[in-house]
This record gives sequence, C-alpha cells and structure tokens, in this order.
Amino acid sequence: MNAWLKVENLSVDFPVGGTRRAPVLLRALRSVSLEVPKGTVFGVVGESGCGKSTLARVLSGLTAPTGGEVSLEGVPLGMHRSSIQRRRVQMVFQDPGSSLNPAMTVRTMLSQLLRFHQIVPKDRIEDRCRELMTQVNMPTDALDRKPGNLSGGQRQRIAIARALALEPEILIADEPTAALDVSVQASVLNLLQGLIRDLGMTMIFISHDMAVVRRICDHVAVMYLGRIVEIGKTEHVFTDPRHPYTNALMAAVPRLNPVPAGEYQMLKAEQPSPLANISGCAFRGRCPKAGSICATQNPDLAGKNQLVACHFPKGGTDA
Amino acid sequence: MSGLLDITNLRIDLGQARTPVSPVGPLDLTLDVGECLGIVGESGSGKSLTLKAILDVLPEGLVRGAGTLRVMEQGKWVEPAAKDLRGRKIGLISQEPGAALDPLMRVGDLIGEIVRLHSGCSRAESKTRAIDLLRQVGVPDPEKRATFWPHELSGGLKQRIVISMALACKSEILLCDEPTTALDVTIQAQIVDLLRDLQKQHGLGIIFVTHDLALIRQIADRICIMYAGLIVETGPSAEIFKAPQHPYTRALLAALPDIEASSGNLQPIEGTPPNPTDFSVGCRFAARCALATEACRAARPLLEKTERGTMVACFHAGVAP
Repeated sequence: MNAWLKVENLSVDFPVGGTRRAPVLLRALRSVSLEVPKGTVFGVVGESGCGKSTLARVLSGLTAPTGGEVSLEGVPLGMHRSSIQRRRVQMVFQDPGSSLNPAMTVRTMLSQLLRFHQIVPKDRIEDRCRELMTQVNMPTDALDRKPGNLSGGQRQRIAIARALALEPEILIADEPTAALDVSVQASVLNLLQGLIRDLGMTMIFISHDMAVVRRICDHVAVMYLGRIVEIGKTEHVFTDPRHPYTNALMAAVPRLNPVPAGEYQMLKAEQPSPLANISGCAFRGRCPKAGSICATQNPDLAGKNQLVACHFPKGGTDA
Repeated sequence: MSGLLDITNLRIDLGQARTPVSPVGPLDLTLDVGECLGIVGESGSGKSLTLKAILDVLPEGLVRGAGTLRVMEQGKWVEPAAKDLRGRKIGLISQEPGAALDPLMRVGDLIGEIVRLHSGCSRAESKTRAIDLLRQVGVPDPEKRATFWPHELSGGLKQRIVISMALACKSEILLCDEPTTALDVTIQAQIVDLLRDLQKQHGLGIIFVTHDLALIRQIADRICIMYAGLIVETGPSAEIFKAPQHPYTRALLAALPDIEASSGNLQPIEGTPPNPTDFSVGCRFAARCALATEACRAARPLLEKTERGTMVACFHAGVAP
C-alpha cells in the first residue's frame, strides 16, 4: 500500500466522570494506525463500542484526537482545517433524518454550499444543483422539497449529493444504510459504488454489516475495543480470517446457506466495557486460544499482506 | 405436530376512517408446539402490528376489525380474551429490552415478582427460583447479577432477562419482535442460540418477526413473507429459500448482499410500498413488479398451494422473471 491517507498511533479518550485530577476515561481509540491508498474503498467493521464511528469523526475533523495524527499526502489534518482542507474530506451520516436540516429545501441546502465554497460561478449554481441530483439518481423536482417529504432512501441520496457538492477526494460513510430497508439499501450501495468508480474518490466505509462490507470494500480493518485486530484485502480477511475475533464475527453472521458446523468458533461472553483498564490483549477474555502471554503483552499488528494482532494467529505468526 | 395457536381472517382497521382502511390483513396464521414461525417484511409491511394484534395492544386509532384467535388449552381449542393471554400463555420480547424492564427494581426482584404472582410461593422461594431462571437463560454469575439494576446490564443481558421473565410466566408462546436488532452480531448469535434451545427443551412456540432474511433462514422452521399488510408467500423455510415463487420474495433475495459473494450486482426494488389508504383492488405489489399484467391490477391473487408444499399469492407464481 502506498500511503496517501495515513493514520498514525491515533488515540481518543473521552472523560466520562471522576474528578478533573483523576478523570475516568473512555478509551475509544487505543493507538490506531492505518494507511488508505488513493481511489480505494476502505472498510472498518466491528461491534458497537469498538471505536469505528470515533475513527470516522476524527478523520472528518469532528472529534479531536488525544494523541496521534491523521495526514493526507504528508500534510497533517487536524481539528482546525482550512476551507480547502474541509472540502477534501466529506461525510455521510447514518441517519439522514437528523443530518439534514428539516427547514431547508434541498435546493437551499446545496446552493448554500456551492456559494460559500465558491465551487461554481453564481450563474452556474442552479445547473450544478441539477447535475448533482442526476448524479444521485433523483428527479430534479425534488430540489424544491424538504427532507420531511422524502423517503428514507431519498434522504440518504440527498445527504450523498450534499457531500458530493464539495467535490471531495475522500468520502466518509458512517453506516449509511443501517437505517434503510434491504430493497432500498441495495440502491444506495449501488449508487455509492458507481460514484466511487466514476469520480475516482476514496471512501472510508464504516459498518457493522459484514455482508455489505464484503460487497463494496477493497480493504478492511476489523476493530475490537479501540484497536485494530486484523487488516488486509477484504477477499483475504473474509475468506481466511486469521484473528480469532474475525473468525468469531464470521461465525455469528447469519447466512442464507448455513455453513457446516465447526468451521467457525462461536463466542461466549460479551465485549468488555471501553472504560475498563486493559492489560495485554483486549480480546483474551473471550478468546478460545488465549495463553499466558496474552495477559501480559499486547500483540502488535504484524504480518506480510494480512496484518493481524494476535500471539496465536491462524497459519502461524510468519504467514 | 399439535397446534398451539390458530388465527383466521385477522384484519386490523384504522378506527375513525370514514371509508374502511385496513393496513393489515385479512391473513391467517398457525403455530405448532415447538415450532418457530418467522415473519419477514420491510418496514411498514404490518409484521409488528400483527404481533400487537395478537396481544390486543395495538396503537391508538387501530382496532382488530375482524378475525378469530384460538389457542390450544388442554387438548381443546378455546377463544380466550387477550388479557388472559398477555403475560400468561403468550410472552412478548421486544426490540428494546430496556423498555420492558422496570428501572426501579433489581432484576432478581423483577423476575421474583412474576414467579410469586404465578405460583403464589414465598418471597425467599421466589428469589431462588429467579436465580434458577437466570441460570437457565445463560446469565453468567446469576447470584450476583440478580442484585443488579437494569441499567447496569448490557443489551444482550437485558434481552436474556426479558426472556427469563417470559419463562417465569410459563408462557408457551413467545412473540419476538425484532429481538436482536439492537444487539451486536456476536450477541445476536448467542440470543438466537438461546431461543432455539428453549424451543427444543420447553417445546416453546415462537413467532419471530424480523426484516433480516438471513437471520430468519437460521431460526425459522416456517416463514411468512409479508408485503403491504398481506402474506404473499408462506411455507417451510428451506423450500422458500431454495425456490422462491413470488416475485417479491425473489426481489428481496436479489437485493440482499450475501457474505459468501463479493461480486454480482445487487438488484434494488424500484418504487415504494403503497400507503394503506392507496391499496388497490388488485395485487398490492403490481406497481413494482416486472411480471404485472392487467389481470394483476384487476383482481387480488389469493394464497394458493403449490406442489412444493408452499403457498403463494401470485398469478404468475414460479414464472422466471
């Protein structure tokens, strides 16, 4: 992978109680590093509370990191971005019902952005709005509607159009289809896939739905309790998971064609609280392979193509 | 197999409407002892309303317009009042377990209260029974957990508590309304496992409502596909997934991303389901269906038996699209 968008040792702590001197910290991200090559779709999967949404928020500059850095083409991307930097990274949220202003028509929403960022000359704004609507497969008369008069799938298309208005290089999608029915989800996924291909954008796709990630992502990172436990090509990670947690996730995904028993191992307990102090490997409490070394030493991400953070990965530590 | 629940001709009406509007039905449902019936459909298809109608807890404005509901009681079909079913014969497990638990009672007391109500035993005895029930639903360290408040528990544990409350009622039928939607996929697998165990051990009949086709494939013995308030296809789960006959069932499966496959196009279903006020006399799926003809718009197809042992409501059932 050639580094384009780079995340290095990113940590995010949220104070959730305690005193100012001794705050209780929720450690949402614990030293996360990853690299995203230009023009690919990068997926982040994990259970709720694993830090995947926090990662998305840091990337788009909505949450300040406690430590570490995000950089794009070697230039740091912090909380305070110039309008040009902001244009480069745009986000689509999970719930279009609450991320769109209910009092604005779609036209006001889009033209406001186009005017503020001076993306097109004033007399071209109306044309550009229409173009954007065509790009997201919406009729142009929807420009005069307000979000309340649109269906869930249509609202999500408007949210995508709003992100596209700034001609971003990176689109961050945080569970963009979680609130949609399966028949509508398919059309939004197809739309996103087409846009990425046609416009040459890079997309960070956050989801807990493994089947969706399998479908649209080139690379995938599996997160557990604020850490990345496995990262690699989607094809490899999903067909040959090396970390026991990835294996367990695959076991838990409901399938149309049931897999033979014994291929994957089910998990017993639940994910510990992100408030907990963790020594060693975060997954060891639920791990069928855990040994004594796991209690003392946190495994580093290692490997050649498919990086895995485990002392006893499937296929051995050298694979 | 012996029957447990039999619903015929169920219809839900909008109370005040001048012209009759029925968002759901008429539809028939049956449930056998130890069977899991899955109801799948998109949001607004009326699957949750159907469950609510069984317990007679419909939202205000909606009424059960028609239909008979019978349950098997000691070898005889009886038609009881809904209030005698709720919390006795039939238990409900909702999408949001937090809402089903009294936040001001420790979970052990919550379950103990139900045990006392149903068996009239002493406080001390109900306490040990509660802990026993917690153990049955796989709560780790039940003695300690019984002293917890609901807010101290994770979503998965809360759902287990709700299930144990249904067991405390000695319910024979569990209505599950998207019980795992709020849970993570590894926890979802645990809850599904638990429900399957209880189904086997206690001979529970389960009606499992969800929008997740892959999940229903895992848990249900028999499924009903609902569209715009009607059952469009029903039959043994394996048969329907092997060879879906109704165009809507096929479209749903074509729109579903599968974990096994990374390529191939997803086929969205164009258009939206009709509003209950705009239901036509014909097939309700006709406007979105590639096979629709004049006949479909003129009259509504009824559920008919196929040679595969399933039932389909379509004039073009089985025709390749």
